[in-house]
Amino acid sequence: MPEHYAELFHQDLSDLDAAARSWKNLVKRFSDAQGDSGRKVSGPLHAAGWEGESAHYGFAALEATESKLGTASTNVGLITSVLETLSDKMQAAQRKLRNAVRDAEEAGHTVTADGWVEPKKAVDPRYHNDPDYENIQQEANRDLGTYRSRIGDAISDALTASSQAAEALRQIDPFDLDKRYGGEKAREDAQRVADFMGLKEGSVPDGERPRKNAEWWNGLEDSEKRVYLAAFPDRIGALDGLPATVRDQANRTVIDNHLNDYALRENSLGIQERSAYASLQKLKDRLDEAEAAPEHKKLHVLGIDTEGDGKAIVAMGNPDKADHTAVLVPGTDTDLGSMPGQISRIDRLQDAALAQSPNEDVAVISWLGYDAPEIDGSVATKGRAEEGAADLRGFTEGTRVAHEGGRGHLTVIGHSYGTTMVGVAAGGGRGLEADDIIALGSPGMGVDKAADLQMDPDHVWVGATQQDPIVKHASNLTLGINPAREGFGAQPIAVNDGGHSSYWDSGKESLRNQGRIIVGHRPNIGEYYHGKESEINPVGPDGTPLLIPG
Amino acid sequence: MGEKLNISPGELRASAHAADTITKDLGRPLSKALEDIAAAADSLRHWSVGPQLKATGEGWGSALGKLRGRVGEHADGLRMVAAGHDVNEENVLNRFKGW
Repeated sequence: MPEHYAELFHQDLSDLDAAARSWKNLVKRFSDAQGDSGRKVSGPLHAAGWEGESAHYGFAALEATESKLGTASTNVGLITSVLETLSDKMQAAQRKLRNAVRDAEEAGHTVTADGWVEPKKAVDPRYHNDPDYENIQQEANRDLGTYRSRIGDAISDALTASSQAAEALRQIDPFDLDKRYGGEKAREDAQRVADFMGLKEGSVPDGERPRKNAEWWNGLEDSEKRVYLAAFPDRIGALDGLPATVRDQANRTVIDNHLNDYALRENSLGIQERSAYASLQKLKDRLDEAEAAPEHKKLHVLGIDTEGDGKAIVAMGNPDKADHTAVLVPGTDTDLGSMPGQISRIDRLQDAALAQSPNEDVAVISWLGYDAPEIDGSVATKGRAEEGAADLRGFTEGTRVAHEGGRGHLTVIGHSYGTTMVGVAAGGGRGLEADDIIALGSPGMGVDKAADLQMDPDHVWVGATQQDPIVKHASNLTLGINPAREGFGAQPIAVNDGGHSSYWDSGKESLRNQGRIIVGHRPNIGEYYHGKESEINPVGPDGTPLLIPG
Repeated sequence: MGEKLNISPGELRASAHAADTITKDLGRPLSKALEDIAAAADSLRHWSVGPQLKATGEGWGSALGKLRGRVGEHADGLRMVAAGHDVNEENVLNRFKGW
């Protein structure tokens, strides 16, 4: 007799469903609590500049608690996913069982209260001595074994679901919430829950096709999304084409996990890790500051990588909802530690754009998604730009894919070697799909003319001050023709006087014109600048020309 | 802890109030989730997952309740600093317990 037959047949799963719903609500509540704590508790105190011993302990405690609220939300989400999956599996097993019983009964069998399928009596037992009796009985009961087997399988499915769910829940240890490595442990727990749900890391797209990434994500159930986010945050956070809020959530988890890991190993960190730790902490502090900011100043982390010099992609505002989005690609010697400075630049760019069109939504992104060259031989070749070109193309395509509503207006801005990065990316593959491109302080865009950027050259803009040493001395060398020359075919924007980093000076012409372009207006037109490439051509130890840092 | 405050006590009290609101807002949904998982555990008591659901509800109920309480302790700590009272340093630190 099959054990658990009656339990499964009559099991009321409404309490389990109710639990899944209330735990799902709790996920949001703890997530909201984490956000509210940042926005309304610690954020205003950061903004007010609270300092001193109390502030030191207070901020440390609030930061720890906010991190734990996030870990709690993740873990509650995992529990929710287990409850939902358990309910799905138990319901499927129950349907399977009831269908098997119905089919057996419709075929004339009796199914006993404990799940045993009785053979049919096709012939009156009084005729059991008839030579055909056995054959007739066997023919009439030829599916008997199948019905019994179907019932057994259904019960087996339910028992397996129950034991796997129990094990998955057992692994989600509440003690983790008291430990600094709770976030990392939550990731490991999530991977076990993913196993229970049949979700594999191998199912996460390779990331090369943003539209495919988006289709995959949009096809997942909420419970599956929660588990993928918790189990593989590094993979999800890197997927172009996914919503900015999803990538932000994943990448902040990655940042928290790295910071906790570094903190735990602080005394044994190597030089590179120590540098990454300091850089990541600076970025985290800047993200925390923005928690209390108005909606359009909120930061979204769209990419993070601590390997090597580190990479980061941070948006101010939500590019999925923005009418206008600009992507700023920085140049030489930019690394993870430079991100607070880069965020300051996108802040000014956004202000400049909103000054031109106050009633529209504008998002500006700092894209350090490539390994920007150092001040050595690497800056004199297109190598780093070529390595990053497909990633930049993937990112801008992903920005288009993730955009809600109609087509948004997209501007890509390069500065210094960043213009080489932009030029090489726009010139290859299917281009950047940008409406406008701006090249500032360019040593060369890696292409011969604006028309090579696979877009209308009337929307390729170039800004170059006469005091900019990079334009003066480094263009027309190994990175291509100076795009500020008339023959390149770009449109010169009016710029204010200043050095290589003057393009974001507040209240000045260069910044105003970028703001105009970002919101789709025509900038004030300036003059072409041919540079003075003959003056100084500094060279490195291997004889390759060097650039002067920005 | 006798240091001079460099921000207004009002800002600290506003943050404390926000922390109180967080604590309050978590209360009912947390209780409901714990009641519901206990009911699910009872409903599934004949299955191996039943006892584990009970353990999960109890274990996480305690941990989440403690975390909720910690937000409230931070609110108290912020109010203490705002009040500028001659409080015992340990009292304030207890309310700013970290990891």
